[in-house]
Amino acid sequence: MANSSFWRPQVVLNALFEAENAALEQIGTHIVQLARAKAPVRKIFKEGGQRRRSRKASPELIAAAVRTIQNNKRLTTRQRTEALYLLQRHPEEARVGVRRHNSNNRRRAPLIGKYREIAVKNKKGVVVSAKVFSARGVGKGSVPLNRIARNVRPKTGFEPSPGLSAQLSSRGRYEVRRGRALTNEEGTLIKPGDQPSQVRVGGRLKRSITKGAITRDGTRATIEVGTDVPYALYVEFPTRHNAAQPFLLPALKEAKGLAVALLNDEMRARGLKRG
Amino acid sequence: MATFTGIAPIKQALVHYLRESQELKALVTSKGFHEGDAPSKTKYPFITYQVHYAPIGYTHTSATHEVGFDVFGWSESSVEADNLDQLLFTLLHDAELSVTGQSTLICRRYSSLSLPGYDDEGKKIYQAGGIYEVETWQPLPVLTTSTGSLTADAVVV
Repeated sequence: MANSSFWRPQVVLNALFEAENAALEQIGTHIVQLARAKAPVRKIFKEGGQRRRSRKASPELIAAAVRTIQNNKRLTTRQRTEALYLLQRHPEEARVGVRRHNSNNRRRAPLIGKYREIAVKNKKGVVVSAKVFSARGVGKGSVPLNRIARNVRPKTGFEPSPGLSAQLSSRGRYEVRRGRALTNEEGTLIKPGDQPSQVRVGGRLKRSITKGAITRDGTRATIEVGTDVPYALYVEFPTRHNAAQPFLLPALKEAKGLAVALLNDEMRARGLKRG
Repeated sequence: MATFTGIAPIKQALVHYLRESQELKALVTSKGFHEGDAPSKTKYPFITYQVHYAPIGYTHTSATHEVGFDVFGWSESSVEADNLDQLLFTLLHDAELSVTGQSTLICRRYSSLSLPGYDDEGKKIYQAGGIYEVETWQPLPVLTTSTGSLTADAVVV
């Protein structure tokens, strides 16, 4: 009986492996590009028409708020002292704006009280909002047409410049101050004190998608495409409160049809395939 | 003439198949099916489904849809979540879905995932399920070519 094992010259095998590696590199690059195009980016920049949430309080407004708190007899001494301390010692951090008081905002409610937005109609019947400020635990006070809010800013060593701050939404400014939105070109977070050549704001997940080296196990070659961002799994698959925003698997599936064509091209270029 | 249909009939077929199952309805009730994510106050257990990927492969005369669905069971108990996952597997793996305008070739589990997590109240919840791939085939509509004639009133030599 003839020897049933199929013997190929080593030079042909090497050429075949080279063709496979070249095709895999191209497929990997293609999948990375597709996945980056599909990866979602959290919106931290202002878009056209987005309402500005808050602005810096003017000294007149701060003075009006201080008078309101001083004249409010329903506050305890401690509440009054706390509220005045924050407004008088750190007036630069007082913000004026609209924020709906709900369970999601409870964590970020100002230290000096809470506020509600009440819709009223003006003489022309147009609905306008009137803001009512109330000190914590007490009944209503009022700061006509404006509201004082104070956010506690974490000291992380990052502060957006005025130019960048003007382009960011309030969420974006928070993300930059926390350092979560600051990455270098490879998608790695930067730390305070680092001097990266280029800092990127936002798009960490997108930039972190890369391909690995080709590994070979016998006649099987593998290339890995993925990301090392810890929350990537929770973007690709659904969680309790967020629908999935898949980017890797759709890219892989769309590139699958290209794999055979690329391999055939590489084999033809090396004379391993006719036609 | 055959009409080219997209992934909507495939999604409808899958959801219809899930909702018809009496065993599943006994566990999650008729209000326990949600697309994407479930509202905050939804009672456990429930099921979510969502399209994960949907590439189309074309030949000259036909189109093949390869649609991946995330189908997950959610529960406050890991045992119940696993039982729900097993029930979904029994139902959907190699299921014969009836898709309008297309022929179902395959409906199979492509990958599995099991994740514990927390909801907004700090309660531990369990998520179990996977990706089910549905492959369908349909002929493409034949393009009709109109015949015409060209008449030249003058010939320039």
